[in-house]
Amino acid sequence: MRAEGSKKFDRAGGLLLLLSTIGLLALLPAWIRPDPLGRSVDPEVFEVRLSAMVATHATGAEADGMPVVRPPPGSEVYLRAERWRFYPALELAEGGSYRLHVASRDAVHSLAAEGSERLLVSGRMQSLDLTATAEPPRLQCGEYCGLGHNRMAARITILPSRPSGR
Amino acid sequence: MDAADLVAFSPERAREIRGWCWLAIGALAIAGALALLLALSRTPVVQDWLPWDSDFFHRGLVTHVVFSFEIWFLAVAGSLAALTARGNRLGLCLAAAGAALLLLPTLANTGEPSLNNYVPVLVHPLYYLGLGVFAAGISLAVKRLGTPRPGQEPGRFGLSSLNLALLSALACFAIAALLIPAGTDSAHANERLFWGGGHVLQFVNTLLLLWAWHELARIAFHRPPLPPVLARACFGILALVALAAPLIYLWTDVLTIAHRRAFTALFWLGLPLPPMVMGVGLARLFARQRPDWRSPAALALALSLPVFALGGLAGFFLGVADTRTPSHYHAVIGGVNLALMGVFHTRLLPALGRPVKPGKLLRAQYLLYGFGQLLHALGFYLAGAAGVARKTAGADQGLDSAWKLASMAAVGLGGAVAVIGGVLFVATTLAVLLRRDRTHAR
Repeated sequence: MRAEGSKKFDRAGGLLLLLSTIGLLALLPAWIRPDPLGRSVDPEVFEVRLSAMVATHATGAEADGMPVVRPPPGSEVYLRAERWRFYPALELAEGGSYRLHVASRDAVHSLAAEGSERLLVSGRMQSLDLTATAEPPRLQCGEYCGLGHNRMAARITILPSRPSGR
Repeated sequence: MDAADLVAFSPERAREIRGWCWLAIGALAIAGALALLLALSRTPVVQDWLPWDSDFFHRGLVTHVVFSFEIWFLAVAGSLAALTARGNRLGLCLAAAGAALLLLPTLANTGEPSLNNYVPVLVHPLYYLGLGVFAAGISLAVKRLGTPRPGQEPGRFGLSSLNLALLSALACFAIAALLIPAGTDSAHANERLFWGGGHVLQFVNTLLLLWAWHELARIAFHRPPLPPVLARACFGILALVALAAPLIYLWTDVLTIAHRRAFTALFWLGLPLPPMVMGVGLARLFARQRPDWRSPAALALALSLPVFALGGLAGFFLGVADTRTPSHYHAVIGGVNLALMGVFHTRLLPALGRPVKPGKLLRAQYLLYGFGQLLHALGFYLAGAAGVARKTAGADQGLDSAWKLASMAAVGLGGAVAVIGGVLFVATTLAVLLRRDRTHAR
């Protein structure tokens, strides 16, 4: 009887394992969302807008060989993804809202930020809204793009908001 | 298979088993030597004394990964196939030729290194040819294991399941190669070429691990960790999920993030349960019975289980490009390695009439490698959680805090200790393989 009981447990365990796996795999479609395609953009037009932003809002400082740019809250911010950096470096005001536009100049990259990821391919621009908190947001490349891939993260500094004084 | 069966091989079959053992241990020797150099190049202070430039680091890393991950594991699978069923040596010859081809661009210091996930490459025709020839050899050898059948002895069922999973992995590589458009950027192309099949190879490696746990438990505890139907379910489920993987190429575009996520989801949802179930079975055996701690089977199991479990747990809490990812895969690979060390000592070497003497040297291999890997993996996890980037060396690591320095020092120390254990295993196994055969094999 004990052997019979063991056999029943054995079969039940096997069946439970199989059904559990099927149940888990049924969740797979929920994990797969279509890639956000972004908008088509002429690379030269993007570069013109990026250059204009840098010319208008550069602080004069440099970080990692890039100009540091301080766009005002509420503005459109342009970032170029290239091996292996996001150009330029940004200073954002704490609490400020920005509309980020990111495009790739060379290889295929991705923008992993705020729990989502967007592929960056030449000729397309990805946009996202960003509200700067006290902790600098982590924007990095999530698609292998070469030996420097693992250090490819946007250089963003948050400027603390000044308390209002009399 | 009992002791009488182990010495009943024909000389030809024994030669084939020995050939696979040589290929496996040779791959591990090459990978281990490179691992020591790479570990030293990431250790604070020591890294400044090394004369190599960053190009060698990356080429060395590529070769270390492929030899310690693909060649070593799959060569062990080839040896188990030869141990289990009759075949010919064509597969072995092709696998050895493939491995040799992989070494050529490495030794010539040529080919751009691509550190894409799962199967990093040197972008050179010889390298891709080597991978293809090796894959052909392994699939020929493992084909003899056939397909799993209901009612089959669980260990044999497991090896047949491994055969199916391997076929699926190779199919994924082939499908990706056909689908990736010509002219795709090299880094992106290599990443996507090996992403899907690389994931499925982990099902192969997990099947290898579960087979090893099953067999080692039979030796250490005189009973398997799970009853037969549940054991076959563990093996069969891994094979079924692996066989379903190529469907992802119909469902998603190979170059998209959705495609990448689909394989990650397959991993998360389809891989963990069978090793968890068998791990619980093993833990129950340890709780209920006291094994002979001098035996390699007991040592292998006692260390393989926690090391693999640490890696498995880390896998659920990874970052994007930091050292939590190497924490995960070093620990899971370490767990598999400990189990395969046990397989060498309890199955393969005795089958060749070359048993290993039990003693302190044998125990030291397991203890050094096992505890070294635990420290190594833990250090990587803590460093990654603090933001240390993966696949970097020297100043690129950005060790700008005491915590990061201490974590990476633990990585270096653990890595060095693990490598000592690994070197002991390789050296003693090579010495045994070079010894005269003591069997009266037919």
